Amino acid sequence: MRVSRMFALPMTALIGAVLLLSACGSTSSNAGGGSTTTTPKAVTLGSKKDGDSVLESQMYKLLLEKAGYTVTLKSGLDNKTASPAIFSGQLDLYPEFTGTGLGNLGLPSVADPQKAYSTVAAAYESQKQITWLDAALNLNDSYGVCVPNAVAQAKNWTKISDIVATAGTLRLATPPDAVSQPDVLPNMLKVYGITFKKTTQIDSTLAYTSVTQGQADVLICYTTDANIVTQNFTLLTDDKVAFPAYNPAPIVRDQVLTAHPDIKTILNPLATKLTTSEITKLIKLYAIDKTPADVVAKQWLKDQGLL
Amino acid sequence: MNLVSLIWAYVHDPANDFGGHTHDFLLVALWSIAMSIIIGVPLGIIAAQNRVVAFLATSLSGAGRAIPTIAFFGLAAALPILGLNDRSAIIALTLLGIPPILLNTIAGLQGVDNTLVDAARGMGMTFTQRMVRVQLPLVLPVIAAGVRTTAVQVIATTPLITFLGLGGYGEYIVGGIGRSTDAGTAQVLAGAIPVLALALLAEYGLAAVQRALTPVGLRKQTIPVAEIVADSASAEPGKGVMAA
Amino acid sequence: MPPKTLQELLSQINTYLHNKYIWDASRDDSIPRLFVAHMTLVGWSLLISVLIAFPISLLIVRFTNLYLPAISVAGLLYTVPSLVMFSLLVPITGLTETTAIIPLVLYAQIVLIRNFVAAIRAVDPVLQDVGRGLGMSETQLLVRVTLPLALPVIIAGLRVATVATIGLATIAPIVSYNDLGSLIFNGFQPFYPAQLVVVAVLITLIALIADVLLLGVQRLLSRGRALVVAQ
Repeated sequence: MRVSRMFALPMTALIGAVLLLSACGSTSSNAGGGSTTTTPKAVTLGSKKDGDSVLESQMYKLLLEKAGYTVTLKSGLDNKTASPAIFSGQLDLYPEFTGTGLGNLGLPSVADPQKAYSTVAAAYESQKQITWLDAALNLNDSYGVCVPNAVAQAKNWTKISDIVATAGTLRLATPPDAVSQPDVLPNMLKVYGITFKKTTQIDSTLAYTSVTQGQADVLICYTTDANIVTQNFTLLTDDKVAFPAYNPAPIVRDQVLTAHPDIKTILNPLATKLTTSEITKLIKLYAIDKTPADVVAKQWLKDQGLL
Repeated sequence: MNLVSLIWAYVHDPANDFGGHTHDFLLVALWSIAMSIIIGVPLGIIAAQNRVVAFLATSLSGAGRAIPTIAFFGLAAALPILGLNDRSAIIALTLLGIPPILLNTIAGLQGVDNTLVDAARGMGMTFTQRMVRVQLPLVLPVIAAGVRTTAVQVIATTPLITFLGLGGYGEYIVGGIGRSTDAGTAQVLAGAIPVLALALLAEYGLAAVQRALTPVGLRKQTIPVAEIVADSASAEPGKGVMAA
Repeated sequence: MPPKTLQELLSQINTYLHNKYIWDASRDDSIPRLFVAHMTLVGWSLLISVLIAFPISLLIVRFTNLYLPAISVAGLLYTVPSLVMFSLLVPITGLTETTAIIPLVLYAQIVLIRNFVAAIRAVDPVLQDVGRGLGMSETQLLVRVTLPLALPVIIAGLRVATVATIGLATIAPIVSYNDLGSLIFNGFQPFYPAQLVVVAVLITLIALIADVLLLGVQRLLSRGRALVVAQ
């Protein structure tokens, strides 16, 4: 008797807790994934937290809202959360990169943008019933080799091949993700036949600091990183196309696209307008000048005549 | 190849320089623990002399724990005079390591029976004599408990120095997480296992030290205040296993 | 862009604090709104944490054998990295507040259970016997004797959990719950130290204020009694 009473209290509390949990869960997700078929013109849009993804998802949001959609934005995701979320139907769409998409399905990367796009689009369609809308083939958010402007000018370096001869004396700073993906740094070293004197793994932004402080000479950079411009670095041309292609495209669940086929015509115009140099300018406004992404995206869409 | 042999092979591959990574890691971790003790104990002794100061020190170090460690590191890297070197990392980790020692020193000293202090004063002991001969021996086990918490916390956090380009086991962990293959898992474990082992060594080794420091007559007695304080200062969850 | 001198860092902080967008409460990414979101998350998490930890602690006090397994499970949960916990939860509970709350609740258990058990055990058994002698039922004994006496120490445990949860809540942006932690995440991508300094100071202040408020409650409740837990 006494025992059962002692159990009754915690059980009641547990049930209460579960109810509370489900209650506050439901208030937040009134436009959750499954609701798209019943609620007209409502979608759940995801965004990873890198500058490129943040800006593009804001563009999607603004364009969809203009077309009368109610958009719930799930921001701040990364690759470990975004792709399971769309696979399980938690998200209806989000901007994804071709190279990343191939990696998500365990496929090898491809350096040619067009081929990377058609491969990943076909694989997502058949394996996950997800459509890749048009990719921005002129926007490549990939990896590259960066050196300070002064050094590039002094040594007359413009492309990666130029540094091969002296690479044995150079110290490299690189973000860990470039090292751990065999098709990024390891592949680049193989294609160009480079061996650096020393390789240090470091946070992607601090890599610039380590070069300016003299602890490294060259770095592996993200090609759309605003630090390239603001910290006076030069991105060397990947003349042997060793780095994989990472072109962004809206990816949408087929089920959602069937219910709302106009999403395609709303978002596809972005593909030709988005270029590496355009997005680098926008990322500077967002990441360096700290102008909110929605403000940056809105202005740009207006300038492009899309809004 | 099974996972164990993969890890073994990874650690023994000269290209992965396990010895160098161990050196980088231990250098930063041990210096940080030492600096935390060197700063934390005297600071605790000073703070314990005044209730207001003690309260401020306790609250501040409590609230400071709310700052995520990664932000701590960002701040250390942000301090321009410091730069991307071991010194910055040691300063950040020392800031993280001081609170448990400081809190336990204060709590321990405040927990010493006042009659003992009065008795010592009555015997004509100076402040220094009272501290060295009466109070500190009594609170040494409590301080040791604080050092234990600090050591485990610092060791669990040191993998993050890889973000500053300082190598260590964190480099294996962060690099391995990005790979979905068995080799990637082996790489993560090649970094995580030594961190875990060092943390356990600190936990149990220092527990033995703590026992040895406890005067025989007090060994059966529990010190509830110290335990609560020490518990409260534990590290962020899951950090020993995964740095990122 | 990392500052090169201390002066540059200070001027960047100044520029950041003058950014009109961060104070504009009509924006959901403004500091006031993120603060409210942060405290909402912390509040729910603590409430649910206590509702779970308290009955478990009562059970442990009653059945002492449960202590080790309960503490071990809670300790084990504490070692699961948040990223791992989130990636397991997202397919089940989705990108919702629930997913943000669950790890915070699980992480708080070890601190709460330890302190609650210590608090209840510290109540003088003689007083409970007196209650029994007065003919109180077990429930009456719990509500009228044990709880009021244990409350100051219980609140002391809650203080520790509150400070920890305020800090831990900064991981919620991983599952798209935007609170003050989102300022930390985008202070790193790219690296913008001024923002990190501001957030760190802000979170410390919030934790400090919460701690002092609860300390007030604790003091109020232990008035007229010997102080059970030293500061």
